[in-house]
Amino acid sequence: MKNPLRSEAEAFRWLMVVLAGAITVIFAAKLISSTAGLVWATVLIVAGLWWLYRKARAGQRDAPPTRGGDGRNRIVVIAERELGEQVLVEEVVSRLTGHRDQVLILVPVMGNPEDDPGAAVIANESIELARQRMELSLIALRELGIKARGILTGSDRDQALLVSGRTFAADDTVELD
Amino acid sequence: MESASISLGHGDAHGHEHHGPPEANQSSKMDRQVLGILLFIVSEVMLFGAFFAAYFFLRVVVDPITWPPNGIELPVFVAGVNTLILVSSSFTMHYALEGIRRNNHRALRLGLGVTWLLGATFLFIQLNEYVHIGFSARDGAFGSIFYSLTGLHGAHVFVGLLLLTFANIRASRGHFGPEEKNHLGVEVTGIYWHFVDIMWIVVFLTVYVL
Repeated sequence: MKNPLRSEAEAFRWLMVVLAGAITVIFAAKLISSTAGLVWATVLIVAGLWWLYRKARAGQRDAPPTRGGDGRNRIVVIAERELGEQVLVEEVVSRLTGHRDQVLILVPVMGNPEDDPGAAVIANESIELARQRMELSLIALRELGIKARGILTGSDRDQALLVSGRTFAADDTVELD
Repeated sequence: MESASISLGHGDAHGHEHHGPPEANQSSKMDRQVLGILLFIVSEVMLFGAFFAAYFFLRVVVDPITWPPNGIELPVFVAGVNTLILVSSSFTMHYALEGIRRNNHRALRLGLGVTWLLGATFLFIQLNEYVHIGFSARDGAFGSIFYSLTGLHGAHVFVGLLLLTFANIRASRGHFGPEEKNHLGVEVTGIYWHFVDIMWIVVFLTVYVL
């Protein structure tokens, strides 16, 4: 259910609706009787609540089912290799549904010391490169107004997916390798 | 590698590196600002609901059934004019917000200033009404609930005026901008102000009209 007072403009519209209803109640009370005004006010309140209930139910039915159960379309992207941000952005955009999309980018750090114990010296450099890649991708997505965050992960993509899946119930997985 | 140790860092869409303690966990189901405003409004509705319930309960059980009691004459016309003043202040509040959305700082300052003046006028007239109304909160159930209900609303108007004061000061210093995140202080104040107006319309109908 959406917050009916999520913005000032929305609150102002509600004020106008209440004002219009109040004017009719005043007319009923003054032209007929206070009891008539009270009955009319009750009718308006009940009708309003019924309309809100029906609208909320209709909204739930219209929203596509998502794994998170909240109507948000979550996309997880595994960016294993260095790609231009444009490739990543185009791939992500092609998966958007327009239903409150959220994107999580998993960026594996390649050349981990555990993959190759002799590579410990270059690990820090790999992490930094992966971080830069992630930040550039996030900036590119942000410029398109896409809500996204990123995580640096180990080189095992299955492990990375497993861990991210605990907090990010992805509806779609994109692998860029 | 253990799954717990593979997350080496994270960033967000703002592109800033995070310093200090980790960010607080956030439910993915609802934005925290939206949730905050929603919970606040819901709690306020329940607070007013309790007072309205008390009002109607007293109105039903009072003996003899004369409401308001004989000898009490409510200044409906003055309260009606006061209602118009408060409703007008919502229009000026909306004008201020529309102004800043179009990057019109003059409209923002004018709208906020007039809103503050109208709100203060409303509060002054209500206090003046208390002085001249001819009964007090100790004069029976009607007196108690009348002052409780209108006083509760008056307290909300007072809080709204404080928020508007801060918004006016910030507007005069040029703190607000056309982007939504840059005028959140006015946006939230506007939501609160409209809510207070809606509540007054209900109070006015309940106490003065019905």
